[in-house]
Amino acid sequence: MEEILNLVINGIEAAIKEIPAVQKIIADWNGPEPTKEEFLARIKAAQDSLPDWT
Amino acid sequence: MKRKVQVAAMLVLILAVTVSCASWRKTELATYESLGVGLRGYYEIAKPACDKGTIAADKCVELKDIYTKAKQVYILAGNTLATIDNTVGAVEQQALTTMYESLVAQYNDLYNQFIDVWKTIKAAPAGSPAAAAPATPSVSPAAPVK
Repeated sequence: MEEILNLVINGIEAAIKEIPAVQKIIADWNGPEPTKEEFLARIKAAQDSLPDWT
Repeated sequence: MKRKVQVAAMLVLILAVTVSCASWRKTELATYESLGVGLRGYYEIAKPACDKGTIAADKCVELKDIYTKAKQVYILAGNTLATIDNTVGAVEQQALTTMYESLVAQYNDLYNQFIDVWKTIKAAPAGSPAAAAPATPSVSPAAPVK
């Protein structure tokens, strides 16, 4: 019973991942995901926001 | 009926896990940026106060030392976060994530040390230079990433 349930769930999960529209909804769930470049740029900006205490 | 509830519960769980995976960068960035904002807030108040001489020199040295260490740890944590994003292997990613979490914990310790010193300055007796220290900023760091 549990195995069948797992198979069904895995199948649904795989199907969800294959549907572009669903992927987009998931990716944009709480605002668009930053690109790799944006991600790195924002880390750098956060690091630079702390000045040296001279 | 019971089976339908089980399937529905599992679907919600799968969706939640999928969403959390999809927004990894967003979540980590928000946490990382908020950590920096907290320390920056204290810097912007403590540094001018030290420059004006309204805080005792030994306390300024202590604050500066903690701030500098915290900044170094923060930068290292950011570099680690960037490396996690560039790493493909699950084992390597896990090792880097553990390192990142350790650095965030170190950063939070230093941040709390800074606040502790700041509180001693604020609690100094009236009339002493330290008593003239400006107000505490209203920002605080986010909880460490889990």
